[in-house]
Amino acid sequence: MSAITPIKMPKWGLSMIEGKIVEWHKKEGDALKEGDDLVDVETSKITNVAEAPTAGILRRIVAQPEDTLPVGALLAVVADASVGNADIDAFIADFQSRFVPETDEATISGIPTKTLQAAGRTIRYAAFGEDKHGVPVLLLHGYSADLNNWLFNAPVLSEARPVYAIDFPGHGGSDKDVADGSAVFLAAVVKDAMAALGLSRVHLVGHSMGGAVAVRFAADYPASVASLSLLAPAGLPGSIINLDFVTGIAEGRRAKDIKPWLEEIVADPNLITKDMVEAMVKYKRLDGVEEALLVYRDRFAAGADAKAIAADLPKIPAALVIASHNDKIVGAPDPARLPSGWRVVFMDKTGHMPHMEAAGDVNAALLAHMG
Amino acid sequence: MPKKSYRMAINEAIRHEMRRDPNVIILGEDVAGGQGSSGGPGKVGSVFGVLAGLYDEFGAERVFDTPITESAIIGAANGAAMTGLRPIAEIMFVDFIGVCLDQVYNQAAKFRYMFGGKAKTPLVIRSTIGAGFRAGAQHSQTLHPLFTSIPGLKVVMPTNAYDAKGLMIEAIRDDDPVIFLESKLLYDTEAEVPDEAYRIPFGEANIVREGKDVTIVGFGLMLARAQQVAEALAKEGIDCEVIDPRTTSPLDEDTLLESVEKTGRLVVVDESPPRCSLAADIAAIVADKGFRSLKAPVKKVTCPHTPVPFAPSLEDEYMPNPRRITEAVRAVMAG
Repeated sequence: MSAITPIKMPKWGLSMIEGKIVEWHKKEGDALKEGDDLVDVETSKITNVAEAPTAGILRRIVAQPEDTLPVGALLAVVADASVGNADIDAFIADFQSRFVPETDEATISGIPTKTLQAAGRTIRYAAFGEDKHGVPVLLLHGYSADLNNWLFNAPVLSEARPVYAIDFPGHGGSDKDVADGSAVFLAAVVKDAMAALGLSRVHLVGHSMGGAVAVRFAADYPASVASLSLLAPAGLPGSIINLDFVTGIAEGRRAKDIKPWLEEIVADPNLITKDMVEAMVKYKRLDGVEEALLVYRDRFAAGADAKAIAADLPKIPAALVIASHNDKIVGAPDPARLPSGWRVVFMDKTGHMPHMEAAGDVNAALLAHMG
Repeated sequence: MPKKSYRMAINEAIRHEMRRDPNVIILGEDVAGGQGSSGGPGKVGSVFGVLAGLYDEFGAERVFDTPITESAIIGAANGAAMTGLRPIAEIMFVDFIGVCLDQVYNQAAKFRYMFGGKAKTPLVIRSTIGAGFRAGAQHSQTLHPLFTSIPGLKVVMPTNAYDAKGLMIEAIRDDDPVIFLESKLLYDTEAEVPDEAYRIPFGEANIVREGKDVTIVGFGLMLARAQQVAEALAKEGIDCEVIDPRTTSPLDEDTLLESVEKTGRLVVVDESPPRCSLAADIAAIVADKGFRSLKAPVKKVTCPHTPVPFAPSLEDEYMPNPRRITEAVRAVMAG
């Protein structure tokens, strides 16, 4: 029986309790290599591809498209050709008879969050792996996003070190007063948040607008940054800023107005689920959000923060940049105009959300860069 | 996100707006709640407990009990609204609106129009609706078609706790009279409700379930029954789209027509006698503007043309129930 490997419903993040089978990329009898795309699974947040965990033959597909199954449920069975069909049947029967879906409180209530005070504002944050040692990771989300963006990354990154994610002002569960919305202001929020959390030095990871803030922060507080990782960052030389998108999100109120803009952020628009659109509509309805996003929009349009960042890049000797030439929101930076110690990895199959669209690759690159 | 009841969501919305704007006041019968009871004022907070604790926080100046005289409640609220306050008036059961109907339809609804746009009437009239509460013919009606028919009134029928909070905040900040109808049987239902304030615009229907075969429209309590039927029929391969209009005035006609354009079939579930109901209204709108999309006659699932019966077995049969909704869906599927 040792040669039989179960393929189970993956758990992509703390809040995932079930997933729906969208489509199998392989059929029964196909030979698999480790890492082959195996099956598309849709969660309440996003659709993602589960990969083959091992080489072998895909012997039996148990879960059919449209099936919704709890995390850990049996999706398929992989084994060598030498394993008999009767053994496969016995394995499946045994698995199904023992399987009990997990139902712990933390899973059902989503990512647990707390609040802290920074720059005179209440800031929501989430902590992962607080019992771990080592230099902590601090995650900075992008424009109109929040800490839930990290649900595919934080659980993996926190296996060896503590991980913190904050909501910027105007976002998620943080206060909606964004002052002038500048990178300098947001870097000050990061500094204060670190002080409130008792963090003196972090591996800083920023996405999009959070990437620009991370660069600003690294230039201003080099001693506080152990490493710098930027995912689809805004504000670098060669990058663009899609102001139509920024305005569309800021001013859109109904699902049908917001959905086309959300589809711009990913390479495959089918990744955008009804729940994702609904979550954005609910966020947009909160008092102060539209005003906050328009302050950011005007700040992006002015371009002063990007200019200042470009001038300060030589102060930052090393960084990891993950970007895509198919990013419709910020484009791709020009590696030739970045400091020589910076490494740029292009993931052109993704759009603007590499940490969600290619979570496994991004997590591996981040862990390697943090050392 | 915290789960909260429909009752608590409305309480939270009103509390938030009273903190934000000192002009927001509450008046009605027993709205302070508990006066003369062992708990003392503020401990109950209106007959279903929706306003619990508001008297304690805001005091008798802003949360005050009136005599049992609906005409005085709405008359005073109208005057307060015209002079700059934002009153939330409570009519304990919507059935009692008759004794103050002049103040509602002939006064509040007309001020902006008759004063050439110079007068505003930022008034919310909260009331409870619906049968199934074993309360008899004079405490069980819905009456939303009556208000919907009057130009100058906005009419809100929240179906869940999340919507109830966002729609109540929108109602309080609106500068026109809003009739806010709370389904008694929904008070204990729960949903994820943010702690922060948020607004849900009027006239924006919610597509609560997407489907391609039949459009089912439900108001207030009826939405949950439509959803229940849609889930059950999905197992048989009938894919229902379920729409909650949220407000009957303004009505989001576009979303309804777009849905029928896709499905070609329409069932409207309305807890109301059939004549001049919202079911009749929406059937007429779709027959007029969406006729060429229809593959089958529109089906209405309503109450019979009778008062609400007091006998529990009759009352249950009086209300649209899943069996009758299922029969209507099967009928339109058969063409």
